[in-house]
Amino acid sequence: MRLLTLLTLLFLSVSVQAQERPTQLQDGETLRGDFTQLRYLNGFNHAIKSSGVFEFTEETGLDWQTQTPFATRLIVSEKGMVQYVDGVETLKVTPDKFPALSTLHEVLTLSMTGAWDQLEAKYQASLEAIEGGWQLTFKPDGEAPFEAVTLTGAEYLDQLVIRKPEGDRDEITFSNQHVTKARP
Amino acid sequence: MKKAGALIWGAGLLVCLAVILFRFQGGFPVETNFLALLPDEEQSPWMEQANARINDEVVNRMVILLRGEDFDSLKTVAEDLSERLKSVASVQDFEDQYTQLAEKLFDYRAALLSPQERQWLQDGRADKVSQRALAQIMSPLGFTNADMIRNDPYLLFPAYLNDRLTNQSATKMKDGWLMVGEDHLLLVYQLKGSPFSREVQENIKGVLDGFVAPNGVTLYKTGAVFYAQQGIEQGMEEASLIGGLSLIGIILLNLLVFRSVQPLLLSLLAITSGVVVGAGVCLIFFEKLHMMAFVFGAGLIGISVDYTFHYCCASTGQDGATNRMKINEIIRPLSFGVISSSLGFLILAMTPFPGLRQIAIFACSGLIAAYLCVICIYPLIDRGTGLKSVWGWATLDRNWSFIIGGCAVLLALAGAAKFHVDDDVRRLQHLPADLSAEESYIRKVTQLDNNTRFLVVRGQSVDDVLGMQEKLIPLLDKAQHEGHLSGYQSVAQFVPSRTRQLENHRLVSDNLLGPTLMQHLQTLGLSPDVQPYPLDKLLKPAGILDELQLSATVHLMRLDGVQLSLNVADLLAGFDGVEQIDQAAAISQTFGTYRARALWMIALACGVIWVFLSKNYGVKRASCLLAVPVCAVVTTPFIAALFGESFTLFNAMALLLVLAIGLDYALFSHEAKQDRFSQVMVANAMSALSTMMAFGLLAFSDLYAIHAFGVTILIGITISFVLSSLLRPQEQESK
Repeated sequence: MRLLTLLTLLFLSVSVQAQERPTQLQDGETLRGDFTQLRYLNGFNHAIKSSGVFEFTEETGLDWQTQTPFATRLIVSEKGMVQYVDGVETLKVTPDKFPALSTLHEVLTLSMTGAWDQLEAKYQASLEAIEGGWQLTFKPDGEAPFEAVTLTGAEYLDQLVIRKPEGDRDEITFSNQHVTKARP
Repeated sequence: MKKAGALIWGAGLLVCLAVILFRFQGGFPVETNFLALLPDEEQSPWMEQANARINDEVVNRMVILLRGEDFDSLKTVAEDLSERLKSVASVQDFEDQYTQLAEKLFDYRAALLSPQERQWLQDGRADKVSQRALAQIMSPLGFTNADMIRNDPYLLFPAYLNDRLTNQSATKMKDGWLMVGEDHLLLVYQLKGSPFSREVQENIKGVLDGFVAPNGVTLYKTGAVFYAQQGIEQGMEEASLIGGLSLIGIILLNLLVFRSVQPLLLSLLAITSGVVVGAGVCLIFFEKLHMMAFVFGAGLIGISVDYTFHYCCASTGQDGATNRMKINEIIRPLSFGVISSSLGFLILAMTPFPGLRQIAIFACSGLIAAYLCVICIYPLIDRGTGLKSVWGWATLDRNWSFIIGGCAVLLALAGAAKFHVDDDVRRLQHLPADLSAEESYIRKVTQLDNNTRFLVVRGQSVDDVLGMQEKLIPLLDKAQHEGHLSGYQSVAQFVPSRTRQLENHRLVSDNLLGPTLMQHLQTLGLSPDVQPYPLDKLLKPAGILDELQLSATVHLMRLDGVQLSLNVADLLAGFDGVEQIDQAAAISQTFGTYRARALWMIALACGVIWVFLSKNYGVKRASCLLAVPVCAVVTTPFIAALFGESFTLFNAMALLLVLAIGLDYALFSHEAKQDRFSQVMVANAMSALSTMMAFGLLAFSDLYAIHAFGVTILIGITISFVLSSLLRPQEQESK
């Protein structure tokens, strides 16, 4: 089965055209990879850079482990967001306090599982073919204070750019993404 | 004499009618709030203020929860409802309380530190604070922005606010409306009148009954106003059902025994005049008549019907007996009965309990009116009523009386083990199932609940009061963590005491400024000329949670969802300036005090009546006479206990009626001549039966107070009647 998936993926990656749709995460599958984040804050001298590894499943949400400049861990799920520094919980936020969290969680879940149809339908935007892949740009309605969210990818989501009203901007680049079956 | 009596009776009746009509012009003069029965307590002004504030929060609040998937339809319904309810209730304007609060507090960020931050800084771990802030700034989902970071690079304020908001409710604002989750809209109304006012109740009922929620929107409601309204409606329903049944019973009894409608008409006249005069005299002294006073006043029915029975049974079998002869036969026991009962009631009127006073005045004046009616009016209008013959059905054999009396004593002894008093005011709150279901749904969704307690914190200065709250907060946090309460609200949650604010300033300036700040700013990419933490501002409590501030030195703390497992008194041990306000407990305590006081009043009444009777009958016979009702009064609570009844203020009040009616039975039996004993016992039996029908049926009421009243009368009257036959005239023959 694993072999079959791999073969399928291989086949897909060979035959994929620019306008083809990205892979969808199946039930029980985990998406893993590395990330680099640059946070541009308006008026600051340089971007704040961090990097590490991430893990995503639809059930448990996003596990974001920053390794540099120092180790922190962030878990984002339907229930909210919890941050740990040195294994100690330093922040816990529930969606009812920051409603924007639900919007972000939804965007993340839909884009990481590859549920593009739903994203397109929800934000009335459509995937655009670009060189070597595709792109989706939209402005989330509702509670999130974002000017625009741009998702870029090919087989997987490769980059997420969030523009905020005051001129702040986050750029998250993903690499080495791979899908594994969840441990039984 | 006869004429004078008739004139007094007629004039009194007219005056009372005029008073009643006058009062009715100012609205329906009936009070249904049980609390109005209680005395105006002598409380310290701040306690009164605290109670008023809490009443506003709790009693005058009406909560409506709308459920629906579509926000727009929820919003339309909410707007529509609020518009229709405008005249009686205003929707509470929450706005975005916490956003406003946050804006207000932000300037004082250097004085506000979360417990975690304080701990780190006290331990000299500025690096931890810096890392926590960096982690948050780097987080892909951080809600920090450039502006916020420039003003608060350590993110001290978000940490503080987030910690403070942990125990706030699960609501949020959407488009100006309070939402719980995505599909519940919460409306909190403040009533513009008392929830016990009939007018307010009718208005709200009118709006809600006439309101049809559109498809997909469900409405849930709760509030004291709905419970009060149901209570009154149920009371009225029961009153008409039980009243109807007892009326039918009494009519049948009359027709069966007297085979004529005239006794009925006579009774009706006596009762009506009694009730009119009772209500009228009460309304001279009080603006409103209490429902309980009215129920008790209906006790007159039992007593004044008795007078008619005795009148009609008098001179039975004597050909050519005139009305005057009938009156002469009963005037002595009747007068003694009225005087003794009135004395008893007057003693009750001396209590500072407004409810008891009303009852006493109602009963006393009504009784005198009925008495005048019987002795002055009956002879004028009676056209030959009365028993044609007497059967012995009502005359209990002495042995039987002893056996039944003995059984009563044995039952009372058996019940003594199960006897218990219960002054819990919450028993009075009858909770209808449908309202309870709606309430528990609202509670489940909003996590708001009724188990709210308030603490009053008093001190010498603002700082003192805030400092005390600061010391209590960690204990409350612990209790909340352990699940003993769901949350709390306190001014000091947001406003630290001056001492602590200065301490926080020092912690910040010692640990987080200077080179540490330079280092931190550099990591962030901020220029080092930023001065983010003003150290000259101290936050004052004015304008923050104002509803909890009675004055600068008296604050309230609100505890929500208090579980039984939490012993608030233990928690407060050692906090001299902090007191718990528990209205239910305070009222229960008052109930207890007055239950005891009512019993003393009954004892005192017995004493006064005994002195009065001793003057007329001599000590020995007065004691025998009084023994009948006293036996009933003493054994009744214990017999009731055998059936699982607890002893409350209402049982104690009913005992007074048992005393008055029981004494009548004893007087009439005792006064009866040997050959008249059977007819007197027929009259007594009819009195007992009609009293049981009028009152005993109340035992089936769902309303606790009324039920307690009925049960006591039922048992007490039975015992009085049985024992009264022991006073048959053989004993008198020896005189």
